[in-house]
Amino acid sequence: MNCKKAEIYMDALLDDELEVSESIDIVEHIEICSECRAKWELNEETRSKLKHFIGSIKASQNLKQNIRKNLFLKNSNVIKFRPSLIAACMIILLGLGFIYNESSSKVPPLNELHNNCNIEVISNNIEVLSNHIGVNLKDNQFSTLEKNDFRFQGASRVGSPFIKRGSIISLKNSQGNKISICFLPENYQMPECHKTLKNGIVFHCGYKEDCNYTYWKQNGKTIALVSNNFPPDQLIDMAESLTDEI
Amino acid sequence: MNRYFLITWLKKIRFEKLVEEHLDSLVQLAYMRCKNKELAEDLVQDTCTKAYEAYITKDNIENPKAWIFKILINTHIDYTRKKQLNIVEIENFDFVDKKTPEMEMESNVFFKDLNNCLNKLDKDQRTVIYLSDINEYSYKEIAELLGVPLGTVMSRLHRARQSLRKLLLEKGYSRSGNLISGGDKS
Repeated sequence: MNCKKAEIYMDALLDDELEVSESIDIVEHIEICSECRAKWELNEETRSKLKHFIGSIKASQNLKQNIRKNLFLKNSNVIKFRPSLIAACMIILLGLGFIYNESSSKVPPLNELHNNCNIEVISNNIEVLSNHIGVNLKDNQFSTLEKNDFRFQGASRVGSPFIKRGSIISLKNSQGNKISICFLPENYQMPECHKTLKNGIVFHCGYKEDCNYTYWKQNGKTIALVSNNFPPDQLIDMAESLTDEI
Repeated sequence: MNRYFLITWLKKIRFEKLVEEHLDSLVQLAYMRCKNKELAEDLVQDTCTKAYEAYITKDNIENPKAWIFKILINTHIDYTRKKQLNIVEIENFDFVDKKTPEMEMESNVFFKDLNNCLNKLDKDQRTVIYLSDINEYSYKEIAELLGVPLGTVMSRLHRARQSLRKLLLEKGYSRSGNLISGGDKS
C-alpha cells in the first residue's frame, strides 16, 4: 500500500464501503504513515464538524406552516373535481355544524385527554374490558392485531372532567408504536373536518391543524376515537378493521 | 367516491408525516445545493407541493426519503435553469452551541470558515458530501438517487473531500487534539 493508493481508498474506508481485508491494509498504512494519518484525521474531524454544522440548519416554523397551508389547499383542489362529493360533504358538515353549535361545552383535543389520564391496567380479558367500557369488543379485533405484531397493553379510565365515563385502550407493537382508542361517553361532541361512510358506519376524520385524530360514529353517536400517536400504516389497518367491526 | 376521499385523506396524513420526518433534512440538502437558507426553504416548499401531487397518485414508494430528495434535486435543477440565479451567500449563520462562550466563539469561527470552504465546492460536490457524510447513504444509494454511475459518486466524493481538506488547510486548519485547530483569524 502506498500513499497514493491509500488516499484513494481512504474515502471508501471512511464511508465503510471497503471489504475487511482492504480495510486492514489501509489502516495499517495509516498507522505507519504520518502524512496519511494527518489526512485521515482531518477528514474524520471535518466530517464530524460538518454533521454538527449541517445538523444545526433547521426548517423554520414559517416553512412548516406554509407547507401545511399549501397541502390543505391542495386537498381542497382534489375535492373541487368531485362536485357530488363536495355537495354530500357540505350537507353532512352543515348538519354536524348545527349539532356542534348546539353543544356549548369546550372540547379538549385528544392529546390533552391523553395527558390527563393515568394508564391503569384493568384487564387483558376482552370480556372484562367490554364490560368496563360498555362497548362490545370482539376477540377477533385483537387477534388480528396480535397477528400484526401488536400486543395488548391495557385500558384506563379517563380522569378528565370533560369525559367522565370514557375509557382508553392502548395497544403497543414490538417497536413501541402505540395505538390508543378512546371510547367516549354518550353525547360527546367534537370539532370535525371530514367524514365518510363505510359499510353504513360514519367514519370521521378530525385531522386538521389543531386536531389530529380519527373517530367513528354509530347510530349518530361518537363511540370511538383514535389518537394520532401511531404510524399511518397502522392507522389505515385500524381504521378499516374498526369501521367494519364496531 | 367515499373510498377515494378516504384514501386521499389517508395519503395526505402519510405525506404530512413523511414531510415532518424529513423536513430538516430537506432544508439541509437544499441549503447544500443553493447555499442560501431562504432560497433553500422556498425550494423545499416547491418540492413538497410537487411531491404531494405525485404522492397521491402513487400506490407504493419504496424509499420515500430518497424519492423526495430526488424531487428536491430536480426542483433545484429546474429552478437554476429558469432563473439563472444570482446566489447570495450567507456569511453569518446563526449557530446554536451549548459550549462555553470561548468554545462557542471558536466553533462559530470554524463553522463560518467551513461554510465558506463548502461554498467554494460546486453544488454536485456539496450534494454528495451531504448525502454521504450527513445522511450516511451508501455509494450505491447516492448513485441511484442522483442517476449517475457508482464511479462518478466515488470520484466526486473524493474530489470534494480533497478540495475541502485543501481549503481548510489553506485557512490554517489542521488536526490537533480533539478539535480542528488553527484558522486564519485575519
